[in-house]
Amino acid sequence: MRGSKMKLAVDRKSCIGAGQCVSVAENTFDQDDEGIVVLLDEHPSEENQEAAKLAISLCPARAISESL
Amino acid sequence: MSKLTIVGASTAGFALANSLREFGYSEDIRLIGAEKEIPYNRTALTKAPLSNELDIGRITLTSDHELEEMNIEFLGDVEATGLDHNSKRVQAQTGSGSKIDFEYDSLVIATGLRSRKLSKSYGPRVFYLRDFQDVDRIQKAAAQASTVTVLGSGILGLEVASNLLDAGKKVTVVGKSLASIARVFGERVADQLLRELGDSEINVRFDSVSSMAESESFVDLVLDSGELVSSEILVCAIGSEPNSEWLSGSPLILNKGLVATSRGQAWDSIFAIGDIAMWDGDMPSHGFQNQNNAIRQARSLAQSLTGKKRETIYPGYFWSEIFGKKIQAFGQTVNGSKEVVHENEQRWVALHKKQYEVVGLSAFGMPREFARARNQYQIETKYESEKL
Repeated sequence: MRGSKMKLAVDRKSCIGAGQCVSVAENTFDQDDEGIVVLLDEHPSEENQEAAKLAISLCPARAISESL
Repeated sequence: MSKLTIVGASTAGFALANSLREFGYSEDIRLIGAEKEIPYNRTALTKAPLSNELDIGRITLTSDHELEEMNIEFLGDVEATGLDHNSKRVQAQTGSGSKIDFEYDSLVIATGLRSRKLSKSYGPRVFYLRDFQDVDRIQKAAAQASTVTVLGSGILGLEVASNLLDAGKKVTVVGKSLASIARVFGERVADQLLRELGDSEINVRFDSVSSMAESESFVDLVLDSGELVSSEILVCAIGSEPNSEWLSGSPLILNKGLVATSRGQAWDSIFAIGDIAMWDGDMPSHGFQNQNNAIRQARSLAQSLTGKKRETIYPGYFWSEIFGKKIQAFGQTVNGSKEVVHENEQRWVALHKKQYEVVGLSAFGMPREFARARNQYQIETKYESEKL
């Protein structure tokens, strides 16, 4: 994970609003009023990347993905 | 060939395989599941409207291609039937009845729970809901029916009832009380659910069933009050029990869950994760069987197995969706005082305090504010220091 090249995508259709992403990476993710994920930052800065990776791993619907 | 073998391919089992690869584990991984489908998100089953056909593709956690890329050998439709810990072998049976034997280096047990069944078996109008095939059957039957009874007034029962109401069915819920919901989500949530149930078009009967009969077109329940509740289909949501029969005869200890150390070890080279596992330090009274715990345990075990520093397992996080609103609870929500921090009509977030310290949160219909509060009050950190 060198550099700041991380690129994130979220799939709002498979999101079930558990809110795990927001609770571990609130700089990168938010929720709408129904709890469905909103991506705040497609390219998280280096300091936020570790939290974003944890969010990917904790998402029960695997609705967050990382692309190169 | 012996391999790391994971028995159970739902949330916990798949999360473990996935996390092991994330942490650089390079040995072979075998993932065995009793269901035919590739690992999917079980909680999505009851969140999806029961009126529409549920497409498995929308709720799967992975794909054949990805499993192959990650070098995870996935075997579906294979049910474990026995364990010989001395020779390190798992006995199993395929859906078509052939027997297979797997040798393992390390074994991870993640066979989870199944629906608790009624003491008698019934015919085609009586359903249980735990897996994808169950939902498929219920949807097909519900499409032909206009009246449905849900037996059980726990979270699953109310999820199903609210879902069937949305699908345009006439729904009756028969259950004892909302006590099981209050135990997990706190009384404030349970009280509001009770009010919303009362305001909804769902008929609720807090009563016990004294007799039950299934005819060609109806399922009839006679309640203790003498009332007859008749509907075309009955969905039973009367609790769950561990899939642990295949472990009988092994030295593993079952007590509510499969007993394991705080690192998930249940025996020499045997680990347990997910809904079946009860790690030392879990709080059975509070409820340890939830999706968040399953994923956290899987990550923690993957960290142990790859020599990484382990993350702490946090107290329970529970959530559900009923009447179109998210209900959520985190930490301890049962005893102590309550303070409402956000409120907007029937939507709110409450802090639960012991003395002056915030030890839990509950919320009704405010997922965004709940997540913010969860971060703001840092309950995780407090819990961690308590454990040290």
